[in-house]
Amino acid sequence: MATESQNDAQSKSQPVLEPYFPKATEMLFYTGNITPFFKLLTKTSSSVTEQIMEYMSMMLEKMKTKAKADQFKENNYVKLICPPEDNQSNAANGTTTTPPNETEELDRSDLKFSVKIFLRTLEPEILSHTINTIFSELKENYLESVMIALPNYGSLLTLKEFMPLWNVVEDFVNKQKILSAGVCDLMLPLLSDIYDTAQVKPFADQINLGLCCSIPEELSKYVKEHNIQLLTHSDPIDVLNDSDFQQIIREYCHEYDALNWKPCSIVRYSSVIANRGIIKSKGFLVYAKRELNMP
Amino acid sequence: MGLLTQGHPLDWEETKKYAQYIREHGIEQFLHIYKKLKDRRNDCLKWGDEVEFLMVRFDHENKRAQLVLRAHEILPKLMEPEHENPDNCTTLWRPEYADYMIEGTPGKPYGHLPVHFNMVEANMRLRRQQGQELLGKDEYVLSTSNFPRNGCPNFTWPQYKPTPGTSSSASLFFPDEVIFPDHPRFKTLTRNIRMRRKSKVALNVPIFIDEKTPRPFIEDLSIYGDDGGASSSAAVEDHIYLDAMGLGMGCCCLQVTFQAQSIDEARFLYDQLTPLTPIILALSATSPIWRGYLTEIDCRWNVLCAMVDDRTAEERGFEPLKNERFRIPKSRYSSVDCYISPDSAIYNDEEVVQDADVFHKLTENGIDPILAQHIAHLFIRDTLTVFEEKIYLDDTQDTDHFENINSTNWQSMRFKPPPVNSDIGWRVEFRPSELQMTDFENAALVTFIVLLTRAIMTYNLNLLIPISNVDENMQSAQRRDALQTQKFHFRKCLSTKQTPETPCMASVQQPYTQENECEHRLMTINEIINGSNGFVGLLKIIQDYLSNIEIDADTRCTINQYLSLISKRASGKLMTNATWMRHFVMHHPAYQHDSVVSEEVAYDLLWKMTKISSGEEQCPLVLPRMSSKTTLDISAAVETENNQLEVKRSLMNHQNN
Repeated sequence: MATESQNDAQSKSQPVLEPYFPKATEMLFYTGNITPFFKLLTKTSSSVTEQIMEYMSMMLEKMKTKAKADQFKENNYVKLICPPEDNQSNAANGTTTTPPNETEELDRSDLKFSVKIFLRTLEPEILSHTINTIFSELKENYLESVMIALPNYGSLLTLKEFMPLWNVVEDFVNKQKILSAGVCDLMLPLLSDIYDTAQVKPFADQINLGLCCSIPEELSKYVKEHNIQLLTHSDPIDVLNDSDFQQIIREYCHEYDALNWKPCSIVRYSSVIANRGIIKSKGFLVYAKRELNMP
Repeated sequence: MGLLTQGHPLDWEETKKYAQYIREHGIEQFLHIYKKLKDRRNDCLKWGDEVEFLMVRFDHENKRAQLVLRAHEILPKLMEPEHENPDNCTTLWRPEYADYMIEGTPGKPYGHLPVHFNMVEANMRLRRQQGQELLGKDEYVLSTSNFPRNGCPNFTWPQYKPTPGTSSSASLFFPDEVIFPDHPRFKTLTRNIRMRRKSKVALNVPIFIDEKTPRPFIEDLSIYGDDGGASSSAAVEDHIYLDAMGLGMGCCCLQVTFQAQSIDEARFLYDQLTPLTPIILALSATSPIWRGYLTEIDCRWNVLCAMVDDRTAEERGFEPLKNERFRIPKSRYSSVDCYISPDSAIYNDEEVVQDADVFHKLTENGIDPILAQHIAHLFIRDTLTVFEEKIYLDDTQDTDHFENINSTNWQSMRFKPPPVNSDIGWRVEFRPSELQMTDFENAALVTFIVLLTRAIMTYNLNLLIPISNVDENMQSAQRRDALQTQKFHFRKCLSTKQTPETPCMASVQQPYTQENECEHRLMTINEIINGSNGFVGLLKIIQDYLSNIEIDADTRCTINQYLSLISKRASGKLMTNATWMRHFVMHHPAYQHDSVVSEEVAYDLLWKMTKISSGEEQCPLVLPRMSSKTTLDISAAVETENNQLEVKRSLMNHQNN
């Protein structure tokens, strides 16, 4: 739907003579709070993939126009972050009506943060780094709810592969940085194996209902008996793949900038005003790595 | 339901004398509440629905359905749990205008948990069952806005003849005995409205002309009794004549009340919901048959406006102003005349008749002009009931006089200040919706409205259009098959303007509408709800909101069902109740194609509706086959999680302070 701004079109078409981040082997995109800019799409639903790619595009385009030419040249770790000032320009300039909750002051205790981490690798270090990044970028001391989604909806996952990841999460729970943690798309018997093995029990299992509303009988019974909430999502099996990620970079940067990147984890977070069901903030983080053959 | 003060009502001559007194003290009471509670903040979002049920008796042998006058018998039993255990009942009951009506609400308001959306239908079903248990053989609780043969001869059980010479309404069709007998308010209102107006209330509803309808259609009203010719001069050919408060207030509706966080949020919600009133009215249309005839209208709204219209001929503009203070364009039952938030002023493009003294009193006391205008407009109306025990009140402790006027302005939205000495907050009532025949549909409408408000507040949307266009929409919405055939003014771009500060966000901006370009255009209900190439569609906004909230699977399933119903009805794949009723009548073997809905046809229609609402029969033209997962039990998992989370959070916040 977006009518591209003129800047955007220009940025894309100008030939890029040198790579922006030739030494980068780690990359982070963080959109900041996107809620004030709810995009009222006139075409049918844009998927979470399309949304993320659109935000990545905007941030890359901004990098091109605003960043100094060699800002990232020496960086091993490139962070593209939408600065908070940009997102707070939802001040009442030009609004025809100012909804009251914009001008109210909210305490941390009024908010409830929910995070979903889409893992594209089973390495515990990646999960650990991702969670730490969430804390440092969101600047929060704790998060109410964190859900872990595994590659392929966890379909070929074994308990042995899963538990090191869950141990990372348990660590955060024990330090009271995460208050509740859950899993996604897991069925029996893996779910029950995890439940039996884990020190911190998953509080919820988030599944994709599709359009038919039919929850497997066995699963329904199990979650009731073990006080696990059955939540729902409509996220795809792979939120952002390697080629999509590389393609976006290629559109705005030098060919070399796009080489070899693999998104390792994608995070979607939101905060809700706890007693009122109003979404206060929402955003994405994408963490990617690559190997370079250059010394 | 309105104010149910106990006591002895004064007669009209005495009541009249208190008009100015009630007005002045009502304003004093409002000012007191405002000053005391304008800064009240309620952290929790609460909401609830109100359903008014009919009670019908079926005579299967004679194929006749009648309204059964038993509310006065069963209400005391229905209200027992509340008297014994007020803090812990699942449902609450109140009387309504007619002795065949019972009004029920959930015992406790719903809140912010998504799982509450899964309880609405189950609670409605429970209310239906509670009423049903107290009824006799062949007596049933029904939910529909208008009993098709209301006002026809012998339309009630027991049967009564109207006595136009002596009754409170002087109606040819509606006997006094049908009015709820155990509270003086209803008869008093009926009589006083007529006395103030100095004539009977009257409305002519256009008849639906079918192949064999007599042309012109002229009813012989003399068979209904003698009212000194008042009716014959008021009736109009090709129309159905209605002449009693009961023919309007005896209709049932579905209402939703919200408790806002603050007075500002209440005013914001009131405004944002106003443009939706005609949309919901059209979606919920269920009243095509009046006094036993098929008509050209599908909704009750205009009938209600007319049946409690206390304006005199001068006020209505039929005589020059001599004794009255104002010409008043609308009845005290009507769609809202103005928005009430300061930012909405530019959309108030209709003249609002106000009491200037009230306005000045309010603004002198610190109330902003927009809110003052709203109150000053409500207070042009005279009191219709004064109870002798409740005239001299402490204005700092009581709000009866304020409520006397506020609750006898029956508008499509109502702004409700908190009662004194409670911790209830500022509230807003959404009032236009018609009542559907099944709990599923009623729950779907309620859920849709509540989710919309959440989305509006989350995404800072603006739905406002000039109030004159909302009024036009209200008229369009009531026409036969409006949902399929009419177009409605609706705002084109719902996101609020943002100043682009960075190129980063520039491409996310909506294109600004040009300076002189109109902010709204005509759309079909289908486009408004389901969207199009040019418009996002309200359902898409709700779906987007839902995808960002943690919802349990059962609730999600239920909500999906509800939204699917709304979507299909908007697109015409499923019929409104009104369209289906017409369809049923016109395909009935006993229907003569003369617009007459006979006792037999009405009996079959109502019996069919009874079986559909109990689930015994399907109605694929109106309802999907799948049912929702509604239940009154919040699963243990949700309770546990919610409790544990609250504990943990308060610990964290305690630590961080």
